[in-house]
Amino acid sequence: MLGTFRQSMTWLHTWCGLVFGWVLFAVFFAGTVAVFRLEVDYWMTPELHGKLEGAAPVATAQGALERLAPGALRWTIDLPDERADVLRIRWQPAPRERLQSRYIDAAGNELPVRDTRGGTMIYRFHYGLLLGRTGMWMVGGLAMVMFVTLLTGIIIHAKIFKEFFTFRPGRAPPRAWLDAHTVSSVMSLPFTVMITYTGLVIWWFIWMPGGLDLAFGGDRAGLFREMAPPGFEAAKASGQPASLADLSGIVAAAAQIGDGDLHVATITVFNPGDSAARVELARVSDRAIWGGSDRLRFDGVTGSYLDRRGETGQPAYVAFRAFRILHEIKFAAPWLRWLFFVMSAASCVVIATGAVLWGAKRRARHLREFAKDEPQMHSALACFGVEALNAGVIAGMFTATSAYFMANRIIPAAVSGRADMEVNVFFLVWFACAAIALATMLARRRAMTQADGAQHVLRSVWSFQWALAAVAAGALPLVDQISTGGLVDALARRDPVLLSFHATNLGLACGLMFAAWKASGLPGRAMRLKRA
Amino acid sequence: MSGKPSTAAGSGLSHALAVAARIGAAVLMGYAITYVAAGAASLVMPLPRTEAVLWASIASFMVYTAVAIYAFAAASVLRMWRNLLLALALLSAVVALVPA
Repeated sequence: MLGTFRQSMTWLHTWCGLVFGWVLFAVFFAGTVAVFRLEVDYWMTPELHGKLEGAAPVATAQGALERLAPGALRWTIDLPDERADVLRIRWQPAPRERLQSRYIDAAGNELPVRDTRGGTMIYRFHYGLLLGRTGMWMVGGLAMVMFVTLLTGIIIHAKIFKEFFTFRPGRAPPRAWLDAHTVSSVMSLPFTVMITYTGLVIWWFIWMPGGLDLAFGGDRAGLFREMAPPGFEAAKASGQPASLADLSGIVAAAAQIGDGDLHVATITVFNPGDSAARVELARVSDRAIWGGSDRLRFDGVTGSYLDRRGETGQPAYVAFRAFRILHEIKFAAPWLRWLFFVMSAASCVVIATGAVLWGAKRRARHLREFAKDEPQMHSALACFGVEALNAGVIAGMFTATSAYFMANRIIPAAVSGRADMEVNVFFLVWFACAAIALATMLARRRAMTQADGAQHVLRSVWSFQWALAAVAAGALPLVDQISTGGLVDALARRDPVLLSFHATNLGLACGLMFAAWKASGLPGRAMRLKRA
Repeated sequence: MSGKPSTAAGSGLSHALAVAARIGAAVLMGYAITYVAAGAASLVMPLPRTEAVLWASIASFMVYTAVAIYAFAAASVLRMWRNLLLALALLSAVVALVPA
């Protein structure tokens, strides 16, 4: 089947390039969604929506913990913020026992939450494809190739910055399109370079552990222990009972310490109910890549302020942390997170349009060959099957993600093992899209040996896949409304996170519809090429 | 990613071999050199050891990129391989000789 050595190399080259492009797209796509992974987590747990209205979170959490975990070693309260309006309490009952975790409402009652992997699943897929260590190596290799490609691309297109200022919208359509492509590529280039390199640095100890292995005996835990800023000394219980101070008062007192724009994210109480109880507040800032967070320690009985630990570290450690914080955009003002999302989405568009254009170019070449002499059925299918699969994988990623979100609402909350089912829906729909694309083409295989017929079939394959993705994204608000009444509820409460989620999906649906329309007309140029 | 091998004018096979030799150098030698370079730099930098390891590791991906570019930019495939092997030997010697 593969013929000569050269033909087999061409085959290998095509498939390697294609699979590379697919995984690259999947990683960037998942990374784009993961910018809002906490918001997606929130959307995917509808039991928690609108349950904290009028709540005093600290006092409520303290009351719930006193009721549920009176003799625990340690309490933790995760306070609500603008990314997710939820209140979670955790506690460790005894040494070496599992950490308990509950979500509570404004009255301090436990909220049963559906079992889901949420946006965190997409975040894990982004860096490891959900394939464990193997997947992480695949993503790492991909990122390395990506970085080399970007740098060599800059070298090749040294003129690119001059071309940036030559936008000629008045010219003939292909020229204007190319200019638009150049402008968008140059604009997203700095972001892409930054996100690729910071992504490589985050997992350096897995991907490039030369320094760790050869100069530190491979002791990763030891290295990180030595680098991390010193924490507080461990709190020891005295054994004398004493009632805990009011945590709300401690949080209020903390507002007077340090910069004004710090807000408390987590409260930890060591040995609650003991006379030597200690309260620690972890505070974060949305305004700094480094140095914006600290920890405060208070006496748990008197409530008096004891000590503060700011973010400190040697320069390399600061650089490493800053790289990581920059890549994960963990603490940032909403506009900055949106900017990240838009830049990241632009990178996805560059990759996806690249795949579309790659297919269209290849199609034009094959159609010219086919016009000369009528091809065999199997060679026509081999030529165009690749492109059909391309459509199924790229557009299918959108459909699969929407299906994952829908599964979250459709699978009943009480079903056991539902979190795994949701993830399975994601992968099954993705594979199904690729299979549908192939099947649509095979069903009309007799048309494929004619140039016009092949053109028509491929056009409809792409168009159908984009339309499917558009319908899936557009149906999400409906599914949300029918299953949990979520849409009307979000509108009534003006919940900014949920409304942004739906608005993004509707915008995406419009964009995908545009792609479906565009794809159905795209091969027009190839047709003219054939006739010439 | 297209190379410009010294034997470019030759047959398809020798062209393919030259490209394979460059890809192999970029990927495998690139990894080996970067790995050992990160170790050597961690050992010789006059900084606390954790800092040296971290700086070397952060910069290591730049080294990998540079080796990959060199593997395709060098005019002669044979000389390119020789130089990379020399660099690897030199860096390994540093790791072997500098006490950890």
